[in-house]
Amino acid sequence: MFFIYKEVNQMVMVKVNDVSMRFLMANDNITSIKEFITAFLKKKLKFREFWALENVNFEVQKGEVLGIIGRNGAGKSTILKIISGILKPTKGEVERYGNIVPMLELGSGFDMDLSGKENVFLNGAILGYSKEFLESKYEEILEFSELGDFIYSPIRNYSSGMLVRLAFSVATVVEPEILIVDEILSVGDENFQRKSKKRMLELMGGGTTVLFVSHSMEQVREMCDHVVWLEGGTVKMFGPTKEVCDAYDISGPDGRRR
Amino acid sequence: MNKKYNLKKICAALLGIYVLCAFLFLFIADEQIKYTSVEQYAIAETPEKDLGELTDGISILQTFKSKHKYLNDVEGYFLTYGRENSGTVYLEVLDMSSNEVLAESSAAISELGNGEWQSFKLNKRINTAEIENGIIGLRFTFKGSNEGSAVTMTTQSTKPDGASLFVNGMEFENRSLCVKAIQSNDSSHAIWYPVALGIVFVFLLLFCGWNIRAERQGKLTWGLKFLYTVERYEFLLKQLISRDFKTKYKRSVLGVLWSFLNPLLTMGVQYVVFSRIFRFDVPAYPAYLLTGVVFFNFFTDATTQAMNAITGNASLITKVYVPKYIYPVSKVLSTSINLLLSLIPLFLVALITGTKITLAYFLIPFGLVCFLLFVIGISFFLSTAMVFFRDMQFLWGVFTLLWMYATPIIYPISLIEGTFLHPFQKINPMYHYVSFFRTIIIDGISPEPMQFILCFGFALAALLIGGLLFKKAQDQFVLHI
Repeated sequence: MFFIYKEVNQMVMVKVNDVSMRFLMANDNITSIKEFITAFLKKKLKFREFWALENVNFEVQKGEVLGIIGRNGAGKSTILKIISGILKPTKGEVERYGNIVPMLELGSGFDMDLSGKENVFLNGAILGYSKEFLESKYEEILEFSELGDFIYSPIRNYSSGMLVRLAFSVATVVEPEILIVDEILSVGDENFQRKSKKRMLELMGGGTTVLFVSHSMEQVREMCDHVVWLEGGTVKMFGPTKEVCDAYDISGPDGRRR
Repeated sequence: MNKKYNLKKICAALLGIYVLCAFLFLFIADEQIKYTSVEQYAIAETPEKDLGELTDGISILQTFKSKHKYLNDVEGYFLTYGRENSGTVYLEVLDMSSNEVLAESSAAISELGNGEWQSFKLNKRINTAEIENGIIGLRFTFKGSNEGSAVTMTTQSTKPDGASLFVNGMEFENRSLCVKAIQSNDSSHAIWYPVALGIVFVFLLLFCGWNIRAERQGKLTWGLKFLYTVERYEFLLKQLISRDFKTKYKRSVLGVLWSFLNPLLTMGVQYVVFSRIFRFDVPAYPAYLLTGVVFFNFFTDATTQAMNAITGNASLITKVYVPKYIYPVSKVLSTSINLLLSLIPLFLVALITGTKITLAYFLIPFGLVCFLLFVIGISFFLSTAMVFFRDMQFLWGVFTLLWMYATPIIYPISLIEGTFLHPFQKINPMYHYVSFFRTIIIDGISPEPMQFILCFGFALAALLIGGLLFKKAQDQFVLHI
């Protein structure tokens, strides 16, 4: 995507304007022509409308860590996908004033037949970094991931812990302007968990804007400046961490919509 | 955004490459531009009666009135009595008003086929407009063959305008020798090629100027937008291509050697089957077959790979924003590395079968670029279709097989003359691409200008249709994979 850098308000990094997202859900998952034709002939091709998000508004300031909380199905992942440009909202728009890097989930974007080093460059390229940038940061990535000489062997031989360390290193060592984190802080051994948490805190202090989705209220309270509370696709509350988290905790299991 | 490129340099390079290509085209395709394609004029075609054994010293003179402006070649019909013969047959082309010899050719009698048309390539192109009345004589003289080792020619009872037949000076009334004149005319639109190329140049110049001005004013044209995108995603594209290429032959012993071996082995099998068992009569058959195999295999490979580009990268597409067209394009480009590698055995086979490497080889890149764009266009369509209907992967396998047999890849086009397949070739892009390359590699000459236009046209059409479809559907991809 081509981002046009507007110099309206330098402090706002992401502005979500009245975003709504509608999914059309077919009765059956039709993936073949035969199924499509039979469903069409039987006039069974009905869609159920489902609004995952309705009129969502919020903005994220530069250097801020914004937590997004809500129960299952509240639309947290959907709003992240819309912000990073993967999904196009049905209504409304998202203004972005910096490059967005998602923390990739375990293994996605990695090619199992390539070596760790090759994967650093491949994954870095997918995340939008230049070759020069990756070359200058490569040592740092290698050191942080604690992989040593394993970096030259195909990652199909890696343990899951090694993989996630590599993914985390690529995603965070390079200091994106806007980082998207979807529940992946609690990986690796205890040592690495501590280290990655430290790294996240460093990033947040270093002017990176972070969008953070988590079910762990403890983590949210500890790390976030502001919190958006989504419920049933709408913003239930948006404000400073303490206020929103307190309200969320009080609402308890009764606040569940479905 | 920091820019690494220099727009003025890019524009200069673009214009430079264009001018170079244009001059190269005008120079190499000179002959194809100046003259129309060949017109066959048969003085007599049906062999009715033979002339008896044509032994040493016999000369046959057939006159005729030229129908077209130029005479390029002559074809004669011979019967060998089904035995080994010896000697040489000489052909002289005469201006009948002055008896002057205009051109010559010859053929070894031992190599004439029984009941086959033999082509006599003249040593120069004859302009018949310079001949009074346009009456030309073809004189066949036989040397070194005796009774029992001589061939014969045939006649038909017909007498076209200006035709008469003499054997050793004696006229045969109302009969004509079975010969064909291969003629051509001046192309009426020869002048338009430089003009059209010039007009395109002016447009390119204006386009460059417009972009440079827009950049200075900080505006965004689609040309600039394209450059930004290329700059931004060039590294990713390179990474994806090198990944595909590295993983393709990983853990195989011969590795990249398979790029050479695969087309050679396929060609080998088909060569044995189709030249030993079915016996197609095609000159330089191994080169003919391998050209078809290499390009059609690339087409099948690239489209099959690219078809899965979107669905296969589902885990990425649902997590990172990257322009989605990168995936099919990178698949086609990584397969094209294979194509380039398999061109090496193709050129070797062409050399071994006796074709010469000529200047026309410089025209291959044009065909390759058009072919690549065509394949990318098809891939856009396929990868889109694949997202919504997974049946495509099975259908496409059958479809390409059908397509291959419907295209003259292993058989000559003359085999399907008169069937419904013959008119189909006119709109079959694969036929046009393959024959474009065959003309260059086997005949060593430039294809006709129409072929260039067709190759470019098919590429543009595929790219436009595929691209628009892809663009329209791409926002839906993430919901369906």
